[in-house]
Amino acid sequence: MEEKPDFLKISNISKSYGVVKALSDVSFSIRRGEIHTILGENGAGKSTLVKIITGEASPDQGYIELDGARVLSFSPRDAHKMGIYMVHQELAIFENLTVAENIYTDHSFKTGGRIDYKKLYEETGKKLDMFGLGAVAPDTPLASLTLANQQMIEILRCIVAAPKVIILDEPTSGLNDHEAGMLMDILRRLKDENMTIIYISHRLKEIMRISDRVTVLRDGHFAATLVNDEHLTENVLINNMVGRDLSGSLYKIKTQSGAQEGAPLLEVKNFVKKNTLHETNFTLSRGEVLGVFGLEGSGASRLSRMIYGLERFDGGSLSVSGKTIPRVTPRALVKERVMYLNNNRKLAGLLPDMKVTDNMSLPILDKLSGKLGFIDFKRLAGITENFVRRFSIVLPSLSAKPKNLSGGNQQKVMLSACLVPEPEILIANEPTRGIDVGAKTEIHKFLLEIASKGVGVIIFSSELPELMSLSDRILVMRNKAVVGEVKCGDYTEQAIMRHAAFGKSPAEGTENG
Amino acid sequence: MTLLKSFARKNEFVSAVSCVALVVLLTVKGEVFWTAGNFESLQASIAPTAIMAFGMMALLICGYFDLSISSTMLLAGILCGHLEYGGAPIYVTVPLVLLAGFAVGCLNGFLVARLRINALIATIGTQYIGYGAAMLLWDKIRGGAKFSESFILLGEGKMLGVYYATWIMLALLAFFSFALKYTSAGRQLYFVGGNREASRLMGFNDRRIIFGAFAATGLLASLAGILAVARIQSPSQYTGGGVHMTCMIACVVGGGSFAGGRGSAVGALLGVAFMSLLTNMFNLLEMKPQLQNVIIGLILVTVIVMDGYLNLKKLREIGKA
Ligand SMILES: Nc1ncnc2c1ncn2[C@@H]1O[C@H](COP(=O)(O)OP(=O)(O)OP(=O)(O)O)[C@@H](O)[C@H]1O
Ligand SMILES: [Mg+2]
Repeated sequence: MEEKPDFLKISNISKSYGVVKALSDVSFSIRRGEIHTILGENGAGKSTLVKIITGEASPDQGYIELDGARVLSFSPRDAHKMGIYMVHQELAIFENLTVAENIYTDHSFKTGGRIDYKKLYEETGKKLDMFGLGAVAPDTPLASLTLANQQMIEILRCIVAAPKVIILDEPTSGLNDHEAGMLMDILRRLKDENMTIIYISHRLKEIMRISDRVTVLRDGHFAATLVNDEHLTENVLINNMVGRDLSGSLYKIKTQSGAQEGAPLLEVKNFVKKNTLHETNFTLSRGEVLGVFGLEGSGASRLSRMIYGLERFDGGSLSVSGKTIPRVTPRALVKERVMYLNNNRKLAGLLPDMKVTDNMSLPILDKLSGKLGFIDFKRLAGITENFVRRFSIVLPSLSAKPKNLSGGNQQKVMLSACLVPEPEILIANEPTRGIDVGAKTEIHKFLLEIASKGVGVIIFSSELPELMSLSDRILVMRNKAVVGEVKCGDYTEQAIMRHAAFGKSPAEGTENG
Repeated sequence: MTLLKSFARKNEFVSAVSCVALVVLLTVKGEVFWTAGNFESLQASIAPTAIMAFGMMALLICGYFDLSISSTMLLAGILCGHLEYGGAPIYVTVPLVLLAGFAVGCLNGFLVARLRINALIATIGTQYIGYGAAMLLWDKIRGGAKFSESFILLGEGKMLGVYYATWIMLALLAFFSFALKYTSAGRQLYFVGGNREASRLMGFNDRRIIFGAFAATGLLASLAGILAVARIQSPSQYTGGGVHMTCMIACVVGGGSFAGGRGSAVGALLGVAFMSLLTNMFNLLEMKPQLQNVIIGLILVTVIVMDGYLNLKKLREIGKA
């Protein structure tokens, strides 16, 4: 392959947030028309670096050179003018507006200053078709889309701007393999058109598949830029990133079920909701990790919300430890020591402006208070500290605010808060979304550990390898119904995907789906 | 049927239905409703309020509101008195007073958009300033004469049997409807109100957009003040009393939301029409003012609860809450 010229040069960039040194003297170059991945643990400084490239943050030291010219200081608006667009780690979307307006935020289609909605919808429809989202109508409000589709819309927005540089900060963290695969194809196509792509992800397979080169950041320092040739392996990447070998513990497919005998811990009976969920039944045993897998629109995430009373259902009942819950609400379930991990940390998972310790104390406030009703802050700090160590949460202090943490570290805080009350049942939606490989193995270990102590865990995940290494049983959903069950020992990606893509759903033909 | 359903889902639905209900009620209850005199007084109350409500709606869409419009309207009316009595011709008076309103709007915009002061605090502050200034100025023209002929014509004049003020209001309705739907500047209000952080990342100048909405609202408040005093032929210390609340309630009735991100000019007008018809009903039925207050308060609470409930319901439908 011929050497492509350097296009974007990052020179001696340093950036601190108070006492936190997010980046220290980072220098490397990105070539025109390459897919350049930035890899690093949670809090390594990846997002900070790309925010500096788009002018959303300004460096304390150092500068950026674009196409040989030094960029002094600029704003997101200037970056757009220079053709630099970014898909943000935390979605930057407008739920009150239509899909079309979310894609063409600058209202490109105007005749004499008047926005031409007909053209806008037409063009949006074409683009949606092109990217496999033909089922989405251009004039639907964005709020009614699933998280994954919202993510796709944000990606589309950047692509239609036909930028010179497109930066994607963990675009696949909310997508399943199929959707991620589609994104990969799109990115390859863009690369062929000589677009420069900066890519951030924690999914090593993906990185190996798509990158031309990989730059590794460690603790805010530049560690290495590696060429993706035959010598590069996942192990090399991990070694560069964390400085130790993790390959042994990563994604070993589970072969032995840990589910205990006896009466079920949780039982879902005849759950139904019109146009959303076909009759669903399953049980969860003590000590069992139950995986639920489904592609977009399969109803899996809606099911998770219904079990926790976050979304109403038309009929069916839920029992915990043999007791039927009369009214399924989060409150009733918390009483039964069921905890739920939300899949959207921005909307409903965290209190971004309160201290990390406050976030942790939420589910156990009553237990923390002493006789006089005062909160035992010492104990709280102890509990928090434990999780910080266990999941290697990177934070300046326990009183830091989640909004100032890196995305992966926010996720860790959110997960910890669910684990603090020592639940009997944990319903986790994408528990390791955006978490680096090192911390991920820690979290997996932890989940298996609590399961071995008798806790029942239901994991809704779009990541098959994760499900296969954690679950004792995987339910596969398709078209609003559970269409298959794969038992531990029979796991192969093909077997599960076959159900997810072709499983016969009883909802077929009866409803309009 | 589907047409009806899609209309029912529109944000303006509540206000439109409420207006129709009130008209029916008024037709049945009061013989005076369908009289020329009553229509004139309805126009006189709707036109200036609606003019301000367009500004308030723009603010609500981008996530803000302005409590100082009542004092700006009052101040504008009293300034008209000063200039008129000082002998200034109408083509000097009107632009100067509009400029004053614009200046108050800019001050609000500066405080909220640039200094990032909470809109509640900032506009209560300017409301006090405006009210105080207006009262100082009022003392000097108390018991003054009538306005000049040409100025009165502004309030009394009609075209095709409809007051100029109403025509101006309708022109602004057309303008705002178009601008909010079909121009980039108008759409940006929805972007900022929907997600301010993200709109900044899109390269929008969020501060300028918010500033603009405040400035326009101040300008419109002074226009309303001019039209109101021209209509009663002399300045008054009672112009604009409580109109900030009327406007805000009207806008929320008309499909706006304190959460930001939605609303329309037609909705603002329908909301104002509803509020005016309600007052009209109070008057025709000779209802006690205390009872009137109770009813308006109840409507305010109902509307705000509905606003919250509808937001929640929408979220529920799509499984997000
Ligand atoms: N606005 C901010 N205020 C204070 N600290 C911040 C802020 N933004 C980032 N940081 C800190 O800077 C460091 C780097 O954060 P950054 O978001 O760049 O990490 P990252 O590599 O993107 O991690 P992740 O994989 O979790 O997304 C973190 O320790 C974080 O706490
Ligand atoms: Mg990040």
